[in-house]
Parts: sequence; structure tokens; C-alpha cells
Amino acid sequence: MEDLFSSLNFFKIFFYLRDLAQIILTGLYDFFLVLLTRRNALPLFFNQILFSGLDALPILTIVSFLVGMGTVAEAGIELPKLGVQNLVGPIILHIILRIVGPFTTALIVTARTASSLTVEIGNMRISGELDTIEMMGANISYFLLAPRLFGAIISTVALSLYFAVIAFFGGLLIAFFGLSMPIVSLIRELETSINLPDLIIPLVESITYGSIIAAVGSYHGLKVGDSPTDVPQQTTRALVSSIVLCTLFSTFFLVFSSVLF
Amino acid sequence: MTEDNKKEEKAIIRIRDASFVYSSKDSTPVFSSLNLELYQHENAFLFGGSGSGKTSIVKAIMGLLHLSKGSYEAFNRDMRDPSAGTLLAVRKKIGFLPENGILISQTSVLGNLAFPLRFVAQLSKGRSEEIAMAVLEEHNLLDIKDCLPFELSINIIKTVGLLRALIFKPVLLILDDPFEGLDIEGFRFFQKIFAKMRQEKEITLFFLTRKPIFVPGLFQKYYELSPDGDLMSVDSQRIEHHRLEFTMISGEKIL
Repeated sequence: MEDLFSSLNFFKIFFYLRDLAQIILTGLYDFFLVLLTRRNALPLFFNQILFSGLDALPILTIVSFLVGMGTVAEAGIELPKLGVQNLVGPIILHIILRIVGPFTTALIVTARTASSLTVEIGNMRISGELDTIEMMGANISYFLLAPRLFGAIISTVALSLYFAVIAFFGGLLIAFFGLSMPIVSLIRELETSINLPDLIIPLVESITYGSIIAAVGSYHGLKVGDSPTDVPQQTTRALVSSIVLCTLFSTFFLVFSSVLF
Repeated sequence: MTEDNKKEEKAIIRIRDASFVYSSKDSTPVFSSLNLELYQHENAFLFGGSGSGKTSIVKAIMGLLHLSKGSYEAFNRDMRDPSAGTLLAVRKKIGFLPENGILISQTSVLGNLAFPLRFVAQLSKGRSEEIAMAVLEEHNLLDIKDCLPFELSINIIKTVGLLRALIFKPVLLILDDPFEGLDIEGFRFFQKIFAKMRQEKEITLFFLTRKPIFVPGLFQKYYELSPDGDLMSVDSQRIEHHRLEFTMISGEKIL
């Protein structure tokens, strides 16, 4: 029992969250500084968006298409049985836009970006590149952290929107060909039930997930010591932490949005 | 003004009875009492075995280690808890070639050469690359400008590392085991650069090595680092003695 308590060291968790917050705030501060005064670093930011966002499109297209089809099929078959077929539209909208879209996107970005960030920064630590960059007088945050943070945030937001569009498309296809649902009325239902929180909440969720993924990946990369065996260990920790934190915030957003909106 | 005072004024690195730790949380000292003085236009040679702490001395000079005891001044700036501005000002005056050359793996040779200009001097991408291209052209290295570090031999990595260290025209150039891993071509390139430096007398050299290979006439001051981390000022004959020792060991092996 004592072992369990010692492993659940709440101070450790507190300091961990504090360090993540520090990475996020420093990254954002440096991003605005780059934007205002040092635009020569901007190409690095765009490259990161390309890596985190554009390269994830094929896998995200398949996943979002399938999720959209599954959600609509489930709602289209089960809800009429309960006599609430008029709620099919709002429920699909709620599930895809607010819950499944941002969270599934976060999982995909975690799998790609958090792991690659940890491995990349960890290997740079082991090979001495980080020390060399620092000894040259360059700010590691400009070169490494801020572009990755910015790239992860923008990509997660854009990918969440893309997820929603493709999922709706997949849903409409299954509704039309599989369930013979009246597409026009379904679209009209979606149109009438969509409101401002349905757009703001996924946006805030995506920004939060993107920040968490980049901060966790960078933090664990920087935590790598001198041994190459640290890299896989820290990568595993980064993936687990990122998924746990994203789930935690997802629950928070669900509760928060249900209570307020 | 006395001769000593004049010399004090020219001191660019002055470490006295210093103890360094890796971080403020870690109390294990890397050096218990380090004394090192480097003066402008006085090239220094430091000889020390593997694991004796040569790289740690470099890290201490560059402000990567925390000073826990004693004093450290670099270019007349106090380096006890230095601010980001102080660190940047000091690091900009120092060119550094790490032991393995260490280029940034994500960028090409051109990107590596332009890196300090772009991210330290804050020049535009175009201007930084223009200067880097001129340097590559001067040393007939234009063919490899787009190569990534993993495609290069240690000779070229160290050559590019040296050119990167010199791109700012530093006041102090620190070379951590520069000859390690070089073949005769690489050695010639370094000798050429050293000959130019000796002629121009603009850059002060701090040369750290585990093998007593040195360029005669280039150094004015010699240090020896014992295996337990004690740094002693020695004369050139002691280094020459080590050099002979090395040659004899090699000779015995051949026989």
C-alpha cells in the first residue's frame, strides 16, 4: 500500500503539470516574439504544420470516414427504435463535432507527433546537439519548442475540423445508401441544431489537446539523459501521459459543456 | 600601469577556486577547485586523459554548468547565475568545436553553417545562406552544401564544425579534441586554419586534447588535467615528454 502511495506522488504530478504549463507558455511567448521581431524563424513553424498536419491526412481521412459511418449507422438504426428519430441529427452533430472528432484527432496526433517529438529531441540530447545549440547561443525554444507547439496546435485544430467534415460525409453516404434515410431532412436537422458552442468547444478542445501533445512530447524528449535506452522509455511515457491528459481534459470539457451549454 | 595589471585587463576567462555542479538541484561537484585563466592573444593547450573532465571544463566556460563555489568571469562579466543576456553576450564571443563535430542532424551543411547567423545573429535566411555559401566556396566545399550530416565523414563533419565555429569571427575559439578521428587530409585542413590564425593573431585558441599532438609555436600556455580532475599549469617540455611517451608506446607496439 505504501508503494502505491509513493508512486502516486501528488507533488510529482503537480510539478509535472507545472513544467508542461511552463513549456506551453514559453512556446507561445516565443511564437509571438518570432512573429513580431524574428520572422526568419517562421519557415520552421510552417514545416512543423506540414509534418503534424498534412502528413496525417491519409490516416485521418480513413479513420474519420469510418467513425462517421459507424456513428450515423448506430444512431440511424437505434434511435428510431426508441421513437426519437427527430434527434438523429443533433446527436450525430454532438457526438462527431464535440466528442469523437477532437478526441480521435488528438489520439492520432499523439501517436504521430508526441512520439516523434520525444524521439527527435531525445536523440538530439544524446548526440549532444542540444548542448551544442545552447553553447552557440541559440535559443532552443525558438528553434525546437515554439515551432513544434505552434505546429501541433494549428494541426490539431485543422485536423479536427477536417475530421468533422469527412465524418459527416461518411455518415451521409451510409445514411443514403445503407439506411435509406432522407438526406435532405438529415442535413436540415444538422443545420437547425448547430449552434455557436458546437463550434467553440471543439476549437478550445483542439487547442488544448495540441498544446498537451506538443508539451508532453517536448518535455519527455528533454528528459532523456545520456543513455540511448532513455529514448524508448521516455517515448512510452510521453504517449501514456499524452493520452491520459487528453482523456482527462476531454472529460472536463464534456462535463463543462454539458453544464454550461 | 604595471605589467600584471595590463595582463589582468586582457583576461577573457578567469575561473578561480571554482566548483561547478550540473544543476542547482544537484550538489555533486564536477570540479572541487578549478583555476583557469585565459588571456587574449595567448593560446592555451590543455592535455588530459579520457574522462578527466575536459568537456566539463568547456561546458563550465560556456555556462552550461552552475557555479557553486569560487568565482568565474568571462569577458569581464560575472558568470555566477548569469542572465540570459549575459550568457548570449559571452557565447557570441566564443566559437566552439565539440569533440565529434556535432552538426544539427535535421539540416544540411549549408543550414548548419548558416545556423548561428540565422538563429543567434538573427540575420535573414537569405543573408545567412549567402554568407555560408561564400565560406563553403572559399574552402571548396560547395559540392556538399546539400548533404545531411549522416552522409558525411568525420573529417568533413569536423571541418564544417570548425567553419561554423569561426563564422562569427569569435574572440575565443575552443576546440575539444579537434584531431580525434581525423585522417591526414582533415589534419592538413586544420593545420591550414591554425597557420592562418597564427598569422592574423585575432583569435585566441583554447585547445583541449587527450593526445599530446600540438602545433609547435602556436601555444603560449600549457595545462595538464590529472585523471582526478586537478588542473595544473605546466611547461611545454612536459607536454613534449608526453608526446614522446606516446610515440614510444606506438613504437613498441610496432616492434
